[in-house]
Amino acid sequence: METQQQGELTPQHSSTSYAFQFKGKTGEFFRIWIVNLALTIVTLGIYSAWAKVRQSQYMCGNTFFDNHEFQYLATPMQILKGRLIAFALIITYSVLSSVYPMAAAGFMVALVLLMPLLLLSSLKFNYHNLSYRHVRFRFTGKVGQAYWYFLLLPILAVLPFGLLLPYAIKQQKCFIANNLYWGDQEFKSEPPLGAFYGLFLGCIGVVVVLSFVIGAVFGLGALSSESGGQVMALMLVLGPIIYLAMFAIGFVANGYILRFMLNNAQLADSKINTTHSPWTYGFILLSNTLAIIFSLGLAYPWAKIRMNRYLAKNITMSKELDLSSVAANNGQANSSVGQEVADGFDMEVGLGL
Amino acid sequence: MRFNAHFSDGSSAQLLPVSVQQIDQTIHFIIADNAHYFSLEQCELSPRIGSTPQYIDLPNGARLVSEDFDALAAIFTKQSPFIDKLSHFLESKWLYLLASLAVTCITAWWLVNSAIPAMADSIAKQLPSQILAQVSDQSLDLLAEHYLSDSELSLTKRGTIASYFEHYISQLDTPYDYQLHFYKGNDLQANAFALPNGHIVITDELVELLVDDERIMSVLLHEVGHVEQRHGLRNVLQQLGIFILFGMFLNDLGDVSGVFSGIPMAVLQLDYSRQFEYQADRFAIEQIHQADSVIQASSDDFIKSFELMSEYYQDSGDVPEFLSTHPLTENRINQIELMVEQSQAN
Ligand SMILES: [Zn+2]
Repeated sequence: METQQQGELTPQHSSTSYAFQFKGKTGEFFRIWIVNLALTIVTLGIYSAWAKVRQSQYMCGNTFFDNHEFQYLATPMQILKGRLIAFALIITYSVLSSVYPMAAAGFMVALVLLMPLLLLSSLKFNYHNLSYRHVRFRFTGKVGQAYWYFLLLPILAVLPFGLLLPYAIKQQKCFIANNLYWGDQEFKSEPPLGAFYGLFLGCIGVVVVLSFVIGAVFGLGALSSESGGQVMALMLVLGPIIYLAMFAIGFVANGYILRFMLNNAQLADSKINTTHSPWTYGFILLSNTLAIIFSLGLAYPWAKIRMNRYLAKNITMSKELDLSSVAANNGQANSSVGQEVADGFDMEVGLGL
Repeated sequence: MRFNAHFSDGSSAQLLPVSVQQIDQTIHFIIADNAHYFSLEQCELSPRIGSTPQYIDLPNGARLVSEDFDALAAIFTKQSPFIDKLSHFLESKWLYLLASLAVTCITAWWLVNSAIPAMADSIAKQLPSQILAQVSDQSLDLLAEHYLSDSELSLTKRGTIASYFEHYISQLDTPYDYQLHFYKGNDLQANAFALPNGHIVITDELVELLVDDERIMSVLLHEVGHVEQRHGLRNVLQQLGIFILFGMFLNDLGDVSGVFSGIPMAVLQLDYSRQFEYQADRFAIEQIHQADSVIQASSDDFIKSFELMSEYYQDSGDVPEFLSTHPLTENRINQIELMVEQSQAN
């Protein structure tokens, strides 16, 4: 085990680029995770704030870039405050909605309208609390932009047969990448729009071919046997496979998008590069999902570590930027309650939409 | 006591290796010929989390980073907050890990088996009837589009069954607006199922299989039982609850929204749990016994229906999902006979 880690260290010291290394271990993370779960249950959820900090810090603290680790700076109290406010809102909602059913609908509309604001706050909170070499990251997106990129643009994009969808996805990703700072240094990413449309066409092509194959199989099935029963049985087998295939297409597409974004990204003059294969990325995501489902959740720590390790192995950054020269920009160090509430809502937002 | 660390002053990303020395209640180190002293009380040590580096935040915004865990633990004896100390202690002992695993598994089991079904039940009771109608209509439309076709039964047969059914429903004290639909089942074969708002579908194939109106009524009563006890909705809500629970345990599972598109499908799958089937059977038997009805359905008719359906599906040679999710016919017949005996004993 030790020697293997030494072996992994060697490609790190390349003279032209900085490399990532992920040192998290499945067993260690499993311990933290399972104790977190048990304590969260025993404390009726209050400990979840500490759990979140410990897990985030475990991931960040084990992610090394140029041999220095990242740090997660949010405190359990900040997270707890946000979660309590979110919880209070949910309780208010359920009480209100049982008395006035119309209030429930109003609340849902309000949640949808507030979603861009919550997403923005969550991005700000998470990046503000991520630090590397004692210099914080920063997300500078504006409220108006958040409403445009997270609410209006997606709605407009699906209207003309989804033809603007690749454009909207690209714009959304770029909004995040181009408003990101580490200290006084700026991230930039401008992937070519054609790549997104190519991917979009590819996905449509795969779906068309897939439906053609399925149609052919069913046609043959119907021809070869009189009874509809066999077609039914075939569908029982094929159904889950089709379902998985749809997921797999989404996962691989995500792998491509990640590659477009990273390979066109730079921090100041340093170019970011990734060698990850979208197909391997998709395969890891799919097998992770299956492992988590079939282990009833217990494979979660393994899955999480596995993905981080794979990405860390593949992403590098060229050495134009002298890391130690970067100045901190601690202008807006104080975090507002809104950001914490957003974090408390994090999952609820995900669920609601 | 001495440990190695990296120092940064907080103004830039520059990291300087330093050797930190503890003297009584202070630490000190030298940077560029300048000596820095801090009392331990002014320093804040970050909690120990796995084997990630620990941080010492200094009062002037500067920070030391070190992986010399033993030295840090020896120097900062009073520093670590209780909660993090406890977590780290639990994480490092096998016994407590096993206990944690047990607590988690037992809680998950309790949630899945008791808490979520109870909550699903109470939510199903409160759900407005418009939503019920909408979900049901969507499901029926989907079914009619993909599987069902117009009934080919004679109008008289349909009329007789419908009038028996209406007569029965008129005696029932119910908030639901029952409607009976006749369709040709095609791939769904001999089948009957209930939608949450009280619309019940029976296929031509099933009517032809059962022949007798009494038997058909007994099967319809079973479906009424599903509606009255809100089984379809409770089933969907339970699945949803389990999905949410799963997501909460795992924190960031990813795309949770996918489950919402699955709701109509879940209604269609008729994936009533075995418990629900027994409950619906019990409802049907109770109704058969107390109904002062124009038709004289008996528990024997009910049992005969089961036998016919089970034979039918055995003959056709494939296992339709309807039966695979339903309890074994034999077990259900046993239960019915038991209930009949009990009611006779009373
Ligand atoms: Zn049933």
